[in-house]
Amino acid sequence: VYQTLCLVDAQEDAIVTLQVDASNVTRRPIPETLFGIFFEEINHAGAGGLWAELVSNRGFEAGGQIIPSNIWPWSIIGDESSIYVVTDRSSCFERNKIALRMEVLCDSNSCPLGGVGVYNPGYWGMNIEEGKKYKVVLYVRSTGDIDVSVSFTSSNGSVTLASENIIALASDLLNWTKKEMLLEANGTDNGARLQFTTTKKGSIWFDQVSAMPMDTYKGHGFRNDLFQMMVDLKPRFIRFPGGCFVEGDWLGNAFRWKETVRAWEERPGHYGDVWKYWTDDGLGHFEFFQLAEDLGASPIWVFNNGISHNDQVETKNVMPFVQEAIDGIEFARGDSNSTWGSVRAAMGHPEPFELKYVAVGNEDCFKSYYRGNYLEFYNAIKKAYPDIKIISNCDASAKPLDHPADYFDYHIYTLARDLFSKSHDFDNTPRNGPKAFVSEYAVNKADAKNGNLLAALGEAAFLLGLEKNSDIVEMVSYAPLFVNTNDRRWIPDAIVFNSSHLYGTPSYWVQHFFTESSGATLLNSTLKGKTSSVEASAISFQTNGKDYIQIKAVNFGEQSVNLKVAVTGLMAKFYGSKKKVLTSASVMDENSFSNPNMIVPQESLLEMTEQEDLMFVLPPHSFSSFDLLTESENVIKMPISDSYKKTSTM
Amino acid sequence: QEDPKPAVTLQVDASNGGGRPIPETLFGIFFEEINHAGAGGLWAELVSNRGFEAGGQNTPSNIWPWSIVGDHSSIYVATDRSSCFERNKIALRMDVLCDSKGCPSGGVGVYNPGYWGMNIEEGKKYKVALYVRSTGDIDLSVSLTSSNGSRTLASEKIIASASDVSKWIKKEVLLEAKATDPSARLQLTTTKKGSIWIDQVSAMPVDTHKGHGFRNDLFQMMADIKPRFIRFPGGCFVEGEWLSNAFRWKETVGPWEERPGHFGDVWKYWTDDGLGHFEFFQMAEDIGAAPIWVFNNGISHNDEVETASIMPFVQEALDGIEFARGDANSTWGSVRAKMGRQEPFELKYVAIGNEDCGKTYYRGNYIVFYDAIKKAYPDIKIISNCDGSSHPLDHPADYYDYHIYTSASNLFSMYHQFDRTSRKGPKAFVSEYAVTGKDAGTGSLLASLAEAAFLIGLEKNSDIVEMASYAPLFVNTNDRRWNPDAIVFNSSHLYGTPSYWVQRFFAESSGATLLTSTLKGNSTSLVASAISWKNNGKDYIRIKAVNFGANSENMQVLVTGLDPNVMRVSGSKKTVLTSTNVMDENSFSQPEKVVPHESLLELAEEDMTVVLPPHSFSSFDLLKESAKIRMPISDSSSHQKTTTV
Repeated sequence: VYQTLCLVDAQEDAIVTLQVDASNVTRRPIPETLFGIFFEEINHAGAGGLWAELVSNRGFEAGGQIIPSNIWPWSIIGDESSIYVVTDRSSCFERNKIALRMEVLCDSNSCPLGGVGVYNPGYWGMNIEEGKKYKVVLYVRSTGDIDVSVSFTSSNGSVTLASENIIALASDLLNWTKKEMLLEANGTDNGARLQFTTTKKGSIWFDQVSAMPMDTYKGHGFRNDLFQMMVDLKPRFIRFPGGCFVEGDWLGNAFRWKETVRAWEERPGHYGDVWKYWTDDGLGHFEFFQLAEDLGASPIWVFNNGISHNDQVETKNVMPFVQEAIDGIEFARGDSNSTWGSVRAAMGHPEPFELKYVAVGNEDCFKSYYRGNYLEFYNAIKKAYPDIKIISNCDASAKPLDHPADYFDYHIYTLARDLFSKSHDFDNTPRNGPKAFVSEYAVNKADAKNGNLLAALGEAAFLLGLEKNSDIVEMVSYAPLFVNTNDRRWIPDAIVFNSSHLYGTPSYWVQHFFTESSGATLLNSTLKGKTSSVEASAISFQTNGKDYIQIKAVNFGEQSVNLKVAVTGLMAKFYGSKKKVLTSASVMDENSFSNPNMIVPQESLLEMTEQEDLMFVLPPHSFSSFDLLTESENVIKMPISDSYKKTSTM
Repeated sequence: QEDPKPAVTLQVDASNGGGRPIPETLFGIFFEEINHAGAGGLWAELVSNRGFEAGGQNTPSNIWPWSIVGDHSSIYVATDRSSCFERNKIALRMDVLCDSKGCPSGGVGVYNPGYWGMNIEEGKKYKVALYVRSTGDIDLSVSLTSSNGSRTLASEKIIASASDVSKWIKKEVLLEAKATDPSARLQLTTTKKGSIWIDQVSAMPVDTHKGHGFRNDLFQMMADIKPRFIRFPGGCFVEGEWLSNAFRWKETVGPWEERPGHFGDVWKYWTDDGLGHFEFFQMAEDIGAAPIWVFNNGISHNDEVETASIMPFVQEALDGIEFARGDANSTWGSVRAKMGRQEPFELKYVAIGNEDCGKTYYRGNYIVFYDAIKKAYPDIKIISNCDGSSHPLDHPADYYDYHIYTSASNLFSMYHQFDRTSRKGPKAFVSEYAVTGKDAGTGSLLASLAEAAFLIGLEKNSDIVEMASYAPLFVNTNDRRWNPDAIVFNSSHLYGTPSYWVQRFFAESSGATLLTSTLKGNSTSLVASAISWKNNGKDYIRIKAVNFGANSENMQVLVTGLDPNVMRVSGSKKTVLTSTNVMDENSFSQPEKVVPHESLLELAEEDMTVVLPPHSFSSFDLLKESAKIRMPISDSSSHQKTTTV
């Protein structure tokens, strides 16, 4: 279907004109790093999400260091007369002392048919798919012979999806022994559980139980579908691991990178007390850098600067934390002979990771010791790694920083209309001094609900403003990226998932419109006419050896708008290529598991007649992009389409 | 002038048939580790974060409130996991970079300000214990100084050779203060280059109550209430926001250095748990109060242990009871014995959790605890968290918890709350009550008057309400997490709020006899009760009356049914709590603005009419006289008022 525009019927007062100056004099490169993503361990984004580990509380540490402890979500199969389950501090792992002791009181004559034991439902059910393989690893110890069934079953245990037995002699189990097995599923269940059962009387201890699908992305542990949705945004950077997750409500509960490297069984894990759940930290410092590399995105490491929401390290006590940050950089960038580089190498990555950006804390600017601590970190890092760009938590958009920095953090969470109007926020920000990193933005509060079109349009306009101000705003990322639908601590989010399905919210799809922007060229543009509900930008980019001009426009209003595009400064013919529109019948519409593609960009071929002026219709409440193939005047005059295959969201 | 006609009459039936025994355990206290009541309060330990564990288990960690003496060029301080204590791995490492020529004259090191300053008094002695390790010789000054270190109050040196400190070693010093400073600090300094590790640093005054570790002045104010029971250790402190941060008794026994301590995430501060399970029972005994142990039933504010998984927690509770009551040969009784206490402690009451009734697993978990405890200790009375005052419990219990925090006018009106509560089934334990909100401020007369009326109601309903305690008991003025409180303190001073003083009016009630009494006349703002009790061989009737109103009231007291051997009653003592303004409070600058005022009670024989001032709580002690003696006798010396400073 070709879109035909009838110029004759247009009303004069509904025309908005975008004057685009494509001349070399006014065009400006857009930073290579402009659009990226921000991953925070929030809403179970990592644990129970991107990190494909299926077992929740795999080391029995989440219930705390005091025994007996809560084993949740592990639970008991069997009653008090047949089994007694308790934690103790007998593990072989120094930083993970808690182990589970299972005392089987019944025997093969008196045990229930399926045996007694424990099970783990994972994070709101494990997704087990027929034909796929899962690697189960566990540590076990016993005072007698054991015969334990390791099984994936339906949520109530009634259907067995896969099962293997661990049979071993007491002499083999006097000390902790690691057992591994590969389970191939003979059925599909997205609410499955892992269970250990036996009918053999005696005591068995378990610790460090892991179940990983074999088909993670590149075998690096990332859940494929979630990973793919990140990749599809073509992020130029990834900011990690938080966010407030980095700070903690208390320092004792902050993310500390040294606790998250080396063998997964040895990582102590921690309770993130801001977002209030335990992480085993299988997704640790190494894995985050691997994720950045797999995405092809520059890592931006945010580390704690001795400040949490409730306690702070005095500047005069902060030197050990500075050293911790220097060590964290060495872990990533040091050669494999260095102290921490050798730890990385031992983990399977002898080549250094790229690391050019670090952020000193998150949202800590107003804490008593932030400026004092920041300077210690800044001076030490610049001395050791002069090329690393350092991001301050203090906002320099209104007035200059009183300390040195390469970037300053800017976070904005507000209403849709407010964010729409903030597209001009950086118009008058001084261009000298540190550049802005808009590391967190979203429409939230009443406007956004779980992620609706209204929020997306506010965000789209804001991003157009940032694109046009990318001489001061060099990096932008939305927050939060992920939400497990079972832990909606923070809404809205870009990507919603459960154990087996996922969808993008309209805010996710807005970001798709900007995948060509980073490293492209900004064209100077001016809107004329009744522009109170319209925002637009123009860029030029190349792909497959062809030159394009991309016009992006938000119509925040409830009336259709005719957008006239006048391009000057370029001797070229324009040919329609692709049109992309994001809109819906109601501004409050949302995507959902039952209707995941209700609001997604609709792509179509853009057919244009040879006209001096370009005229496009912007539907009510919409975000549109128009890709114009540009050819020099003296080249062939036939329209050429270069279709963009839309990525499947399932 | 003729006296105005009494507005109301209190009819008191003093006949033998008209009285009812008041439970021995009616009025007690509730101690919770809240507002730094224990750590930095009743528990006299002066060092805060003595084991460097409060900053968490990841190193480097925050050493707060420890801080560094010296700058980057002369000293480097970090925590590591090198302690000799298995459950307390964090230790502090000091790298002294300067030497005797390059160091500042006072040396470099670390200091600890205690809990908002240490109270050091001239002439008193303080026992400092610490563990130390080094790769070289050490010459360490252990000093109590002013808050900025400029003035030394006491100092001793620890000098040792490298061979003596190559492994962790305990050092103890006794410091005698040469001056007084309520905001002092403990500092460890040296001018000797090298690395020193330090762990488990304690500073205890030698003159605690009976040497058991309790700060004398705070202990005395508790004892003066004459509590018949003490409920401990919480409160929400027992539950935790998360189970992993709940108070767990096994972690709080044994040598103090080996206790892991924990972050109480409801009231949001670390405790080293020097005030542990043993110390709580010792405190109960020292006060002469029956202990009521509240233990966690596998339920916190955010997570719960399923009933299917609860057995280990039940065992933990049984072990906790055995610790207190088991003989010295039992598993946990022997731990108690090793701590210096061979004889069992008394323990007759336990509460299963705190305010957990509405939680998913409470009833299921409760039954498992109840059955196990009754089986092992049939005499122990068990307290449920579910309120049985409006409809019967659906599970067995000896007592049920009742908590009430409300406005003054509402609490005043609740003095009838238990009038029609069924007397069958478990008895009520009003384990927490207070006026809160704007009526109370940080402890106002208005709040205390409503509480007084409520307590009079409980006294009259003590056939169903067998125990009552106010909450919270203590607040360190530097950590006012919960207002109001009964006793306010800082490092060196303390005072009782009006709510504290109200409780002193009931010191004689437990175990006394309630006399039937009826208030007649226009008495909407009056509440009164009558009890009889014995002291030093003498029989008294005590009338207590609250005038909640803004006008003075005359109350005539008619006592009938006296024993034929009693010819009459005469005045003894009058005690009145009031102030010019209903929102008046006590403070450090005016600690006795609102306190009971005692005076001799002179009564005409024919007409026992008393004046109740506006906004007041009064008690009148009437001495019963036998026929043999016909003269009024006062016994004022037996009621000397305790100084509050």
